[in-house]
Amino acid sequence: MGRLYYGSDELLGQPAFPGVQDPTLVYYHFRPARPANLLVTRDPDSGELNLAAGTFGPLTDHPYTICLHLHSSPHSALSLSAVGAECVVALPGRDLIRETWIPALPLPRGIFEAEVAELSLLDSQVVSVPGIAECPVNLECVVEFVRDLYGRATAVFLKVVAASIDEEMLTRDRAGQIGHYPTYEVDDATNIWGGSIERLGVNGELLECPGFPAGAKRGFNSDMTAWVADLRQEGYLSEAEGAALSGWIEELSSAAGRNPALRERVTRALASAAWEEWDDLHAQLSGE
Amino acid sequence: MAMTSKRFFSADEIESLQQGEVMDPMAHALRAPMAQLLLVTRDVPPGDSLCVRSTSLCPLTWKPYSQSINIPLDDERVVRNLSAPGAECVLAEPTRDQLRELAICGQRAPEGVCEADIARLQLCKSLYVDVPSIADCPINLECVVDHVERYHTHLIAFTRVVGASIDDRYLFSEREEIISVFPPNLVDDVLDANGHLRRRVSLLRDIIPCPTFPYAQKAGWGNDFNAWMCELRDEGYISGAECELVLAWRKRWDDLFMDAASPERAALKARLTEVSRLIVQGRWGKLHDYLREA
Repeated sequence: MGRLYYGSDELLGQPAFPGVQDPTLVYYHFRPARPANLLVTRDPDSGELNLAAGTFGPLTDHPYTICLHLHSSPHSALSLSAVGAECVVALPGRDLIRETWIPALPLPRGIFEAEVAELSLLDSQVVSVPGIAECPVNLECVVEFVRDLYGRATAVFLKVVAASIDEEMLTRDRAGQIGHYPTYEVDDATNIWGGSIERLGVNGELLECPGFPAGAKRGFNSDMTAWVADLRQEGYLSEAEGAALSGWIEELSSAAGRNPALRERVTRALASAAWEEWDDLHAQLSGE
Repeated sequence: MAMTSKRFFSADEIESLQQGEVMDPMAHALRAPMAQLLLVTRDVPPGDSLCVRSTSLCPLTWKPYSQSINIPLDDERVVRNLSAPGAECVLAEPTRDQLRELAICGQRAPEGVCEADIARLQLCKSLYVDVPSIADCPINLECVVDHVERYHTHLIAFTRVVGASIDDRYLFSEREEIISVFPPNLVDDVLDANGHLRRRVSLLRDIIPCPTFPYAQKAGWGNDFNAWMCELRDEGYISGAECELVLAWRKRWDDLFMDAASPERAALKARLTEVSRLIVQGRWGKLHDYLREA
């Protein structure tokens, strides 16, 4: 097994590799698929509605905020350039592939892409911009932060101030929901003219990560010291073993404790617990 | 398209769905599963210790290639590492076979202990940054931190890719296979039968192509409406006269764009909308009729 390394310029130059026919293939390996969205904004000059397609990412849960990245030229970047600007971020389903593509077309500014796509508008509760009725989820948002990105794009942080979801989606289990929406920008294929065909995907099977005892009962973002306490509580560690391991960890936090041997001991013990090698863990702790 | 009924939520209702140890399923339904990566940082003050943390990322730009990552402010170790001047990091994409590793790195090891060691992940030298990559991960993005922003409960780090590596086993893999293998997308956290939290992830499948010419410019990602019309003319979808008519409307529209009160502007908007709609919907007969009557 080997690795190929690429510098940033090489990466953007769509690196070719002997035997790989499509020059975009390797390039897209380096770009994880991103959830697509339809963005409804109001043109700051004309006041007319505008629909753009893009992708978005997570920021915080409390409050619920998301991040958009907008190229500097399209109209939506102008619409969202000020804190307080409003918009709706609609999550399209797999039945809206054509409609998701249409806002990416080079339509003249002011022509409302939603009309071209024959999409229906959904009255918003809080913001002055409508959503897209055909989209399962609509997030009504307000701009809280804007940052220029290298003079070519803008990062926009949005706070979700209201939302709606298709009632029918709430009757589906989570696998049924994610199998429908949102779609994801996966890559571009090449058409017969050497141009791009965007390709979208949806989520498939649902997989579970291991939980306790391989990690804390509280799951992700837990402290491993809490995990050790959980193991003690549930009998995976005896009181003495738990105390020993907790003591090692506490000792690590002191200046005197930051020695490689102690660090190695703690690492090995936690690894045995994470991989559920209980006999090995007991043996490590029994010496104390 | 048949419209379905909607359930609406205010900001307060959304927040109430997110309280407690486990978010209400409706809160998750308002979210999109996000790619989960392993973030490798070097501990500050400088030493030989590293920290690896599961995180989501948000794509930002392609040129340069950049993204943001969001770290809870109470994760002081990673916040410190990313906030240091000249901070570097690696974003590694785990596979569907590395969910235990993902879970381990989703927890916070004691200071000085590296989660990658607990997860038994092998590290390898990066070429472009002074933070190692994770050899077991198919893709590693070597990054510099350009800016950090404290935003509500999180630190948002704006990172720029300065180099990357790929496991050569995946070089010849088709995209359909790649997306079914890595990276996993964070779906939600649920309580298992014992009342313990477990993270659920998913992988993509079912790649669906978007339309291409004539329903777009031949280049695909074009930004030239006039060029698109000329392409349609050249390929016989519209006549030369029809193309000239549409381009003349376009030019007049641009001239009148700022004159919102103009009746001519309103008429042009209707025409250009209708022409665009008929083209993208492939209704060529109706398009010709419309242009003839215009």
